[in-house]
Amino acid sequence: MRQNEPEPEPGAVGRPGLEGRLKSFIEFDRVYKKIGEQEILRGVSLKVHEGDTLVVIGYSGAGKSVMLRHVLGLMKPDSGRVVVDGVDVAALPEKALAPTRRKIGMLFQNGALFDSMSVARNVAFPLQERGMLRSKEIDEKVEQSLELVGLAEHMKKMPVELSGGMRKRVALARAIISEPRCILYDEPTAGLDPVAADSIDHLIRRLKRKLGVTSLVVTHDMKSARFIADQIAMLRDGQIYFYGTPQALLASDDPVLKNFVDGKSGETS
Amino acid sequence: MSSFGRTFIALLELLGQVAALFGEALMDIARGRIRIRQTCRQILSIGAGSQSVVVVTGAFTGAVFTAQVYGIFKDLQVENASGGLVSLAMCRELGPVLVALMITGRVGAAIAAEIGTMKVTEQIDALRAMAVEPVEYLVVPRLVAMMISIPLLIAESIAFGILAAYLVGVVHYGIPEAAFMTHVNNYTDPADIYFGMIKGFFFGLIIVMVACQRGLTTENGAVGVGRSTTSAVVIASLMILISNFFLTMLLTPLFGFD
Repeated sequence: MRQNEPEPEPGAVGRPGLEGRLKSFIEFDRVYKKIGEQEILRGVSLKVHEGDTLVVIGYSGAGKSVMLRHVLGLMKPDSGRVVVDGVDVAALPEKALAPTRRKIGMLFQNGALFDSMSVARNVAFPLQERGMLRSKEIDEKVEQSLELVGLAEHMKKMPVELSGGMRKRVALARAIISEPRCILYDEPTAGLDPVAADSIDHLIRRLKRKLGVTSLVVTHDMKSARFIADQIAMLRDGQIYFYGTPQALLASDDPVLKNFVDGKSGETS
Repeated sequence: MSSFGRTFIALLELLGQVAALFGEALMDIARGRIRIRQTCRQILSIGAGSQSVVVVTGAFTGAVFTAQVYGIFKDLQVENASGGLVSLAMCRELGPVLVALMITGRVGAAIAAEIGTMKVTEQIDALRAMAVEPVEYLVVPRLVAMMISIPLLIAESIAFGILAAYLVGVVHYGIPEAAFMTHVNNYTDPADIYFGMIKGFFFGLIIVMVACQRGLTTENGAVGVGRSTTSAVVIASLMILISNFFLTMLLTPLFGFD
């Protein structure tokens, strides 16, 4: 079943003539990806409009994280296009991806903080890599970013001294410090206690409001999805099964969607 | 295909990947993409951090080799020449090969484990996502640091080997000091030390490139990190031993030793 699947907008992405909310920042155009013998993505087409938060839901192993990795060019599709701000990243070699990657911040599932660096150095890393040399300026920005995620007092700690939720928040501070136009979130609330998860959700909303960034969030946490999403897409069997607003998802009678939303496996004991 | 055939093809594939990674690192070096701070940190880790290993390896190899040679040379009534043979062997073979094998265990394993862990915990992907090239950030500093450090470590090991030979030969066995030193001077040239250092330079390249390649291709979590570390040490050690033969055959006529 496919509900409200986004209508194709031929050539829309990156075309200067398209204004406002209709302008897509990210577009998946008939993307196919096979890993080993398994077909992970089977013709995924999806758009994320500029300034919107699109949440991709789906069962574990559905290929949600694989989709995210395509946006940054960390993975290449077997066929199809992945267009980010008008650039087909799938067609670019690794070395040519840097300008596009600098527009995007990514929160990895486990934070992917650098073990050998303190919290402050982890957060400062993107700025140092962009050649910001004045350490005072970097220090100020690090403090601001860590304050935004509520961890300013932990900047001297090493990642190993932090809890899972704190690591994610530090990773988020690192993702936003260079003021990206888009943030990718890979399971931002997975493995967190409900309070920490709620704190991350509010943070995502706050970032959208304050920075106006485009967000692509991958999760199977329905509470989180309902709270942060402008649009929700469900990935199933390598294809977009549903696309629409959180309200449309909740109102749907489709058994697959209902079971997913309600967290029901359909089994009896 | 037989298992030997499969192993051979896998080995060729690995060598190809190591060579490709080396080419990429060389291109970065040629373009001046060398991170000075990272490189200094690696020199500290590889060079300064290996001091005790190198000193102990050099000293005890020199000492035990002197003890062995002295016994045989005494039967031949040329025991005073023990120092000459030990110093020559330390310069040309024992110093470079044993130090390289020890550095493989200490540094190569650490590189493979560190980069492998970064790979499986998505830290390498995080680098790429932040538009930082892993080869430039991780491989080049280690390669440059090794190229600077290992020849000096080998020279140091040779010096401690000869010093230990002196202690065992002169102080313990009573070889006359003048005779010991004369033989060391007669049989050892600065060229012998350069010979060892040049070999060590190539061994250093092997250690870093194999360890980095193994680390960067790590998969399957902690088990994968363990496998990568083990294979880095085994492959680099074997490549050092095999390449030592070919380097000796190549360098000997060039240095006029034949």
